[in-house]
Amino acid sequence: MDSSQNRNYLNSLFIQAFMAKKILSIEETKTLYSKICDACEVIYSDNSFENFMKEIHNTLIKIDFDIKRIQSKSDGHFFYIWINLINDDFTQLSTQYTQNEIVIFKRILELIMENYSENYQLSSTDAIREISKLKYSFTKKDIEALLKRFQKDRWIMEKEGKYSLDIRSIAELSEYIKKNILNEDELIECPICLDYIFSNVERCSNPDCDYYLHTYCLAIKFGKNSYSKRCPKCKELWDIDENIISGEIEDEDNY
Amino acid sequence: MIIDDNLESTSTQSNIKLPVNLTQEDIEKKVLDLVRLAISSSVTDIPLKREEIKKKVIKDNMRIFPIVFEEAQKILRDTYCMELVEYPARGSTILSINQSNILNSQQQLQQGDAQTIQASQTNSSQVSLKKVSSKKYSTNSYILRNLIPGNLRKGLIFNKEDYQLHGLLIIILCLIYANGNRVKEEIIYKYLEKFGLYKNIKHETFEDVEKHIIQFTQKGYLEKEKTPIPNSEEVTYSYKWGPRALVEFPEKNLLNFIKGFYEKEEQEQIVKELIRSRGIN
Repeated sequence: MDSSQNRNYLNSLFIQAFMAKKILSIEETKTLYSKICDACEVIYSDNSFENFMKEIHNTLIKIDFDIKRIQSKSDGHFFYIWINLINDDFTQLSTQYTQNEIVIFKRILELIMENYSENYQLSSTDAIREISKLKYSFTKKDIEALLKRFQKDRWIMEKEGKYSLDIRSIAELSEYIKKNILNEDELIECPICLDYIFSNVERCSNPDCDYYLHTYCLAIKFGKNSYSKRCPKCKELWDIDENIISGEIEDEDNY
Repeated sequence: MIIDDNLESTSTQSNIKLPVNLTQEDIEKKVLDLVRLAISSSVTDIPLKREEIKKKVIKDNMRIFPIVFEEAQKILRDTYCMELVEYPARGSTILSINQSNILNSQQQLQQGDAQTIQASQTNSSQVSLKKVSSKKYSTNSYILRNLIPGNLRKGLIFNKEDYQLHGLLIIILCLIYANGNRVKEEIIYKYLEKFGLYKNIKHETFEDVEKHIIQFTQKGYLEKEKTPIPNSEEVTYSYKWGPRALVEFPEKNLLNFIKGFYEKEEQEQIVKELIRSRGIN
């Protein structure tokens, strides 16, 4: 086969490769694209990447899938994520998980989102206890292994013994959460990015104040160039964890 | 764009009358639903049952199944470079499956532009589809076959662990193939010992080999067969190629792989012997 034919495989090869990965950082996605360009003997350029992703998007939305660009609310990094646009068939999520495992995931998702007062976090002991109640023949070891898989696939993340939603849940399940788990009056909008807050929750350090935003949005707001460290709502000084604002801040204009 | 063009061109060509209550739009929606279902099934590794297509896509009138199926195949081939093939029944042999594969690969080798290639693939799989469906034992389920040549896919699709498992699977399939497509369970493990893989000893890369063999069997890459020992209550187990392996591993590629282990001058002879031993079953 000559190269003019290899070129025809460009889009399908990319879709197949991306489907196998499900989530890649922007850099990884570009690397994948440039490798595929090489294999298909197409000349790679940064400019063509954007158009190419648009083409892929146009192809996939016809069958209610998408590869969406999402920004992490914890550190501001951008990712491309494979998304199922039909949320109603949650239980048929095209994943390698079994039906029981999906039911367990659904339970974890509910527990995390019901833990409003804990900033949408669930302790690992609570998680294991609640899953055991589902009466599947899962041992504690099995449950731990499953929770690890959820983490590896970026559905949930663990920090200091607590689980919260990771970027794939945010990307794919926000609509589901809004529709099925939280009531309208329970939704909190981040005043900085205007997305709803489902993870990476920061609350004003004044215990009487209920001003919430995302971790990354907090870093932007109170970062190096900010002139005020006061909460916009209660006007008290905000006691910020220095680690949050000293972290690398992704330049939004880069992309 | 491509999708729309195809839908249009076929809708005018199609001679089958649509049931009165269904519009062309309804059909097009069902076609896309089937493509979506097929793509989802490729992720889960579970064959797609005809019954499921009926329930989720076709819904009311099974008469439109062939139209919807063929239109979906076109999109799958043109846009995703995959196609649905009937999942072989248990007990299918490498030989029977290969006849349709050989047909496929011969036509792929033909010179011409991509359009001809696509068209010839369409024809040949229609042939094989008809052949399979006219057979007595139909599994009534489908899996996706990848149409992108392996050399283009190399290094792009799998992650490291998948590659390692893929390697293990190919070795096992080769062992079975080279032994006339049936090997006793204990013999497989004996062979694997030569690769440093022992049944009850944790391996550095693969850890528990038995677990992987069970998984290969569950996924349909291997088929486990029970044979009773005459005049005894006991049984022996053997492994054969599973239905999924028959679809996903063209014999030609496998022969090339095995050939690579031998000196140049021996290769031709080896391939001949292998093909002969495969023929026994």
